[in-house]
Amino acid sequence: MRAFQELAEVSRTLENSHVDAWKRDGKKVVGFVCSYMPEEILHALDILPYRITGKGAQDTSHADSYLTRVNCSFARSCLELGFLGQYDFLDGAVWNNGCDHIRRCYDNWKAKIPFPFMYMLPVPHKISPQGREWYKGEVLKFRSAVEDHFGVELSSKKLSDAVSTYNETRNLLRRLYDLRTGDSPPFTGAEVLTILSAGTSIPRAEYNRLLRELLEEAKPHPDGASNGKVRLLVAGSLMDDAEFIANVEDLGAIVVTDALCFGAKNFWNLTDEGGDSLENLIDRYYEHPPCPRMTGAYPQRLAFLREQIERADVKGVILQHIKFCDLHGTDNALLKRDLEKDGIPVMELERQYGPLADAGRIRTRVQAFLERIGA
Amino acid sequence: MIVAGCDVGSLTAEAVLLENGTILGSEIMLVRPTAEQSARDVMEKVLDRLSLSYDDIGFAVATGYGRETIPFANANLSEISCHAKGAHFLVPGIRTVIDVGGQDCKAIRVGSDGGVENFVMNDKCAAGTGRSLELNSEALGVQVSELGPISLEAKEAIVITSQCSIFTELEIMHLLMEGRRTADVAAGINQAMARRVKMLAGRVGIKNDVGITGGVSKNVGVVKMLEEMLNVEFVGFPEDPQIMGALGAALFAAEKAPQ
Amino acid sequence: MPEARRNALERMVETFNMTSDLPEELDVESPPVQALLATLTESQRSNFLAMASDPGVRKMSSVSNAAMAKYWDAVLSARDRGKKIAFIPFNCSPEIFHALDIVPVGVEVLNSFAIVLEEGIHEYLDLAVERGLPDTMCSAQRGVVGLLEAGVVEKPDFLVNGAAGSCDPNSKIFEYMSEKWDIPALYLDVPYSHDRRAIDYYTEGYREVVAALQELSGNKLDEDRLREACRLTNQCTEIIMEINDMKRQVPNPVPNYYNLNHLAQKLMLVGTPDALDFYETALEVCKERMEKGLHVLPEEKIRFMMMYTGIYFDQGLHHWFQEEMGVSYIMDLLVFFDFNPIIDTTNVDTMISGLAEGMLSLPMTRQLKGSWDMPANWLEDLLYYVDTYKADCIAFTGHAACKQVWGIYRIVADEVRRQLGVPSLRLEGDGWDSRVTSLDVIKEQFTEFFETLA
Repeated sequence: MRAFQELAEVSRTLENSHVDAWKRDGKKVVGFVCSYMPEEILHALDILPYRITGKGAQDTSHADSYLTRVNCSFARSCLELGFLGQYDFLDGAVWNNGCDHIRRCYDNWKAKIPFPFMYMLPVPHKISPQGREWYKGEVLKFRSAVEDHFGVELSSKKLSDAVSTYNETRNLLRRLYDLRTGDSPPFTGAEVLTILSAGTSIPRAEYNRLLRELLEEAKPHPDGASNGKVRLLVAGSLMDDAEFIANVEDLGAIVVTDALCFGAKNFWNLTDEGGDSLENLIDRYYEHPPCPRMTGAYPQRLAFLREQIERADVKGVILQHIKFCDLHGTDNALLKRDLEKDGIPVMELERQYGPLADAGRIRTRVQAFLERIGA
Repeated sequence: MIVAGCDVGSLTAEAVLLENGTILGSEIMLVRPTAEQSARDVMEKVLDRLSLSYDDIGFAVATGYGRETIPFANANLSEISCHAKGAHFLVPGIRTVIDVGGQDCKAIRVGSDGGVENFVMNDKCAAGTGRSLELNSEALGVQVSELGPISLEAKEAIVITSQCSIFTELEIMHLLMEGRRTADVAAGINQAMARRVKMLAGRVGIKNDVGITGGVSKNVGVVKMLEEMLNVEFVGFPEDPQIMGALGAALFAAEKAPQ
Repeated sequence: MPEARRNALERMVETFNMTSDLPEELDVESPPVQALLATLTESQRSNFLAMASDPGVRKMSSVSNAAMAKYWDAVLSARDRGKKIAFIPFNCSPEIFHALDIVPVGVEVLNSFAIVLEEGIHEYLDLAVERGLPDTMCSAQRGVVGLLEAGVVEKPDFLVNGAAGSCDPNSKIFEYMSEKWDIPALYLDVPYSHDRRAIDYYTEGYREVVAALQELSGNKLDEDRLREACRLTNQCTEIIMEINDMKRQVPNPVPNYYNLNHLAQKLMLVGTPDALDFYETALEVCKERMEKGLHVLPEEKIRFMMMYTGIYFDQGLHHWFQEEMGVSYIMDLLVFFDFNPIIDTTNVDTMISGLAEGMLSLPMTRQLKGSWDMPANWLEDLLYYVDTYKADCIAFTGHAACKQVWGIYRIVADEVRRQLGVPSLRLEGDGWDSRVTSLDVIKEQFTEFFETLA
């Protein structure tokens, strides 16, 4: 599985070989943190959008003097890597006011880590016509800021190409997820998360090529992956950690779909093609399956979960949240109630991200949950 | 067929041998340095007593903290499932089990078939586990086993306001210096404990019959207060509830053994 | 819950009624008063002494408590009178609700007052968690969720929230209540900045909320009532500014306890004649103190400010600062109102704009939206208040749920120290839950801190 191997290699390294090659060509790489950032704009300006995460942080000792033990371990892990210079290969970073924790991560990063081009793109906290107007205004400001800083100009032709390219990714990923709905998903949930994570740090053309190869290589899993294993959906706080999923699957499960912002929520809806690309992008990003930060959008989030559960024949749902994540933690409490009313077994799981992650605790709980479903 | 269940926790290890739904023997002992050693020692003790050997065991299931490292186990299951199973075997009408151990606290909703319907667990914070009772009784200057009986003499339960065990110790010392009665402080300690447990247990939804297990269940003060707070009467168990995990494991062994 | 309790609001009304007519002459050492104190819980005793020992404070508190009793009584009888009830957060101007004939209830204010109930709020804080809410959600609203779960407070007809963008836990808990109990909710999005575009955006959102409220309630906005409410608010604002002027004096003649009464009045009662009564009384009391040279005892050693919220689970703390520590509690962030505009009452449009603009400058919304060092944000405000009111030191209570404040405390405190030479203390005390860090420990930490400043 050559394509998978390559993606796995990429997902292991922060400054991977594709990024190196890109930079050697004299091109720029700009980090981002959130699914509300319209990547196509950067792509169309020949800038590589690179999703910042905390993957690989060994501890958060530097970050903890600023963000504290009551802040999200994801935000702390990102800040830690920032302090250690691990993101020095970036030519800038675009942030969103996704949640209080990442907002303050940005504040500390900006105050304490010299970084070229630190940009904040604020997004409304509700989905409304007025909010869309604001978001549009912010996206336009963002575009101008990028153009000014990097001395480039956005062409509508290149933007429309970017829209197609990114839609292709979304279609390919959708096909991948379709394969997971069957009896023998060709990839485990851990493998899929690896594939997804890799895609956030390499040039889009490359990723699409690798995805196409991957889909061609894909066969029903040798040990009939789904056989006797409990089919799960994982949802909740940001997760790019394949090990977490592997830990869960190890106990006799297979994650067949998700409602994660690194996963299905990130690629589920396409951008309209034809007409004004920028307007279409604004629509697509503003209205993609909503994050719990969007007040009043709980019904949409519940509906998305129900859709995923049905199409992938899900038998159990794990709703996890990173400790101190109030947005997901609170949403999960409501979702658990509503999904259990639907007759779906649900477990809530509080976890930590990165170096604080506690595999043993999680195994006990997940095992008990699987036993409950299996019985 | 003789089947075996083995439960290795962080403080104690238990083993149960079962045949045709009857308990042949059981054993409880303090843990050894490794889980594997604990499992061997406790299992061999009960085997020896019954003049049996490992060869006589048709199927063995391990559970508890060290369940994945036990060499003679054919399978392992979570202590939550085993606990529920064991409790249900002992008291078929049981629908909620609250287990307050030394290091963790769990609440399990049990189905009519002995399966787990829902559960919550706290294993990160000392408050609400036996550990906090140990710390607090030390601060009070009594044995932890005396905490229950002493508290029954209380005129009023002094409200302990600190949530964190670390601060509770200080608070207890202050109260003693102020000349408050030991019995009243003991009652306050138990009440704070009961509150924490109630908060956890409430999350699964209490349904009768309710049972309580774990080291803390031996503290009559906590038990009484919990009964009041939850508005239930805990059922008694015909066997020492400490073997419930191992018993449940043995019952699972009986189900899983190839016929 | 052992047995069903009597409605919490009923009991609060009784408590406020009891303390609304405190006599001019009151000797706390006298046998009848001592006998009364013996019947109270420790917390109630502490509150009583705080509001009743000092004659000036006693006078203000009487007026404030009478207004509160009347207010909660109106909430209790609202349904019987055919009125709808809206739960609003503390940073949400109440005037519009008076004009729409909807009864507003500030969730955090209700939460704070519930502390004086006989049973306190601990069990309600816990009950909310028991029933599903994460325990990292703020105790400032969590008590109310518990009260609702226990059925000792009736559910409102609507929920209005204005914290989305300035505080995740606050906005999320409103969504939780809405989804859990099927209560219609309206959300106002707080923009990232405070420039013209942001103010216009916010005002537009506010207009939408007002329109939605009319639709939901079936009531039309009454321009005269709105004008009356805004006029009253403006009058209160003027007095507040006058009292604030006095606070700038060294030593500060305004009693510490004023801030507690002022908090409740400004956030929930402003726009009513009762609030004006309170402020006029407070002004009178403060003027008298100024003329007589009265301030904290024995002398003002330290001028202190909470850089964010205060400790509300014990109202005696203000009193302790005043009577025993010689510390002037100048203000905490929840009473940072210097940038509240006077509302232009020309027509509905100007009033709505004025209210919206005022709301964007209400505490927490103003300081915690966006980024810490932007204009009209936390750092700028802190530097202004600390400098203007000549604070010697500041502190952060370390309120557990304020994760975002924990996350920037270091850079903010460092900057205040660097620019103004003013040191800060970081505690670990929850503002509403006394169990996190006990009052004794908090007092010890303050004492040590103040000693380092001597």
